[in-house]
Amino acid sequence: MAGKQVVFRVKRYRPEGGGEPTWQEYTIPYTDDMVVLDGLNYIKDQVDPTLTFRWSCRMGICGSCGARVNGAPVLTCGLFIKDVRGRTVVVEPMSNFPIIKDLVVEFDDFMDKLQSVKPFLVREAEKPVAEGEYLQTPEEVDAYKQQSMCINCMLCYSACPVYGASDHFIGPAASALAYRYIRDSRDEGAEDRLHVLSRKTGIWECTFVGECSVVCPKDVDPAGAIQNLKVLASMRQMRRLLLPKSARR
Amino acid sequence: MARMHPWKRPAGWWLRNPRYLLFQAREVGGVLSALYGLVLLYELRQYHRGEDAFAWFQGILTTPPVLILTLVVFAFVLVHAVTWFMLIGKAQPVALTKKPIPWERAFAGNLVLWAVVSAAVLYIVFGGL
Repeated sequence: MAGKQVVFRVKRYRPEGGGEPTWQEYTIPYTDDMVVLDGLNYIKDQVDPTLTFRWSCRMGICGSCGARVNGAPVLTCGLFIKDVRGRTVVVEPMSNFPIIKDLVVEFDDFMDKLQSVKPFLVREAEKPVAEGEYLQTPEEVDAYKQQSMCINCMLCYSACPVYGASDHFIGPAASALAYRYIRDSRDEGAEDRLHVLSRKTGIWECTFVGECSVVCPKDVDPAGAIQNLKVLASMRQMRRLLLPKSARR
Repeated sequence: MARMHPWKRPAGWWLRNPRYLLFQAREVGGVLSALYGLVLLYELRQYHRGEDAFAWFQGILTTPPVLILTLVVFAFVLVHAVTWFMLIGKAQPVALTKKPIPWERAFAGNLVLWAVVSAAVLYIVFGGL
């Protein structure tokens, strides 16, 4: 690869020594068909094998190669080097998460929050297999399809200033996935999820900055989902106040 | 010993992205509009106290520093209102149409409605109704 060159300025953090993250620059050749992830892989393969980052599918499906590139949370496999503004590609780990090493951040907090909203179909009683599938109309699928596209890439958490200020906030992706299952006609777990989401650490923390929906690579629109959840949570609360227990569902 | 580097939110984080800045302006606009509501309530109180008290407070409100402050508050309240109108169409919990209304159309509709209501209020206040 000869011809054009680009400078990658990468934030490095070495856990062995602790201390503050530092910057390291690499000048590498590139072609117009290279994405930022290709550049990072070139550095790791040809220049500095100690550079650490996550990646897997290279096609915007696995959601593991998220990072901040020139200040914006992106999937590095989805951004061409030629489209990066300025002459330098500045790569940092995603904001709002502890750094494990270099560009690798820790997601355990999100995984706990995701678990808390039961991201799976909840049934009070499964019907016998002999009765066949749970059928849905195209309209019923459309009701949750957008939120079902979430790939857990965490870009929305990285973009959310509310989560950055207080990490007890349940956050955009967990809320969007909760909404995805609440809207699913096969699901019967809305009550439990809305109970979790209505807590002090839930959806009411969201101030509708909207940046989560801007950065989402799959157009899931977590911000819209959270506002819709606020309406559902309010209706649930009104039902709890006004209706007898037997008539609430 | 290996250890993770904890996240620390940098000072001035809201200056790093124009949308964060707009969000902060929207929040400040909300606080300022609430404070201006208190000013209006106090003005009402002065009105209740009598002509002299009302005229005295009107005199304060029309001094140049207070007028400039009022204009600044007005600018922030405008940002607050417009940014909320921009958000209204982005969450549509109640489906009015089969497909969601594009947020730009909801935004434009709200702006038109706002202009009509403002014009009506101005007409009632200054038009002699």
